[in-house]
Amino acid sequence: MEHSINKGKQTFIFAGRSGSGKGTQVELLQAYIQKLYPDDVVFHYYSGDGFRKLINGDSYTSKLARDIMEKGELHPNFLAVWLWGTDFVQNLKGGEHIFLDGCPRARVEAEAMDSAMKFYDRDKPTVILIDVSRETSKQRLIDRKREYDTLESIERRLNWYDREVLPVIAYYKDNPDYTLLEINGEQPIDKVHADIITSLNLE
Amino acid sequence: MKNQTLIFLGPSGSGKGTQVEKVKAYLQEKDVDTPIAHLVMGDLFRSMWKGDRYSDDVSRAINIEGGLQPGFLQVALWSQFLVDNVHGNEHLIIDGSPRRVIDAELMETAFDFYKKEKPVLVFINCDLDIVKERIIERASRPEDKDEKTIDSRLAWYTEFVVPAIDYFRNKEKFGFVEIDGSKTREEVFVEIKAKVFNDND
Repeated sequence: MEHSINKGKQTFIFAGRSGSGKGTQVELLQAYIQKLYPDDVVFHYYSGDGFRKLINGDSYTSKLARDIMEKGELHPNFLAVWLWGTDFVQNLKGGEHIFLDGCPRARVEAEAMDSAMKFYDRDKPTVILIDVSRETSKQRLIDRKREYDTLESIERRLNWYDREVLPVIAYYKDNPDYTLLEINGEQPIDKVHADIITSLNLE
Repeated sequence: MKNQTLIFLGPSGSGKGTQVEKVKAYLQEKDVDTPIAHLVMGDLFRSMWKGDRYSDDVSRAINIEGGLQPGFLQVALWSQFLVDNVHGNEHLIIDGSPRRVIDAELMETAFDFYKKEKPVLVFINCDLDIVKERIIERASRPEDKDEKTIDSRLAWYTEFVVPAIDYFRNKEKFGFVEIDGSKTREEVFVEIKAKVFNDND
């Protein structure tokens, strides 16, 4: 049945601290996959896009989500699942290579994502961790300081990663249904990309 | 009356749907000014199964086999309902969800987010032999009498929904009432009124 159309299609879940250069690596790998399989469709979900849309809406939910952002608090996990879940339901047609950027970001969200991977019969997803130390992440965030960033909010983001996202990495590490690639992110962009390609061993 | 958040769970055939309707009418009568957002998980899925997207097809196939839908889809559907129907001043009635612990954990983050204080789980408990008999009796189509499908539904109820019920039972921030669903519908409603609304009339 329809399910078999996903056989042999790649699923990439990107993880890494803020400032790891994850977004750039997603783009580079996406271009690589598109070149390798020119006839295939690539599906890309970036959680930041979903949240931005929500924040800019005018519903009651949007208002509450804005309040949370302004207070520098974390968005609830159900909203994250709603955003990518709805995106999958509306846009997946089957047979795509899937790139996920910025999710899951909590253990319970990883479990929900796992149920989606099984539902869509995705063959052994690859989790690509762009690994940089907490110190490197902090330095990069300070260097690129954005409008709302303060030392305090940066520290909070680093703490959040240790508390919420490290358990997600641990979840994938122990899980035979996934391949976890730990890539050294403290190298030049090209070298990080080259390491990813070598580890994937697609050709 | 304070805004109520009531979650109804119990096996199919427990009379849950009937009781939800009675509770809804009761709330409407006692508190005419507050709207009620009524989430029926089964309806959200049935509406999805009418669609012809890829995901609709996969979900429909699971249903035909009597399987339990994946957690992310449950969450995506009830979240959409909450986003569309929660405006800050309403009673919220949830019927037939959560169905897994992970679903319950994520729903808890939604209650916090929407500032729904002290949600109450109304657990309509009923012996599975009794509900099985009821399901077969009330079946209008021959396929609804299929014992294998019924057994499969009751099996996932025991395996997945009961732990989700226990998740609420064991947390202090939730209210929890257990109702004996084996009695007549009138008796069941009397018990709900007494235990949920402290109304002994």
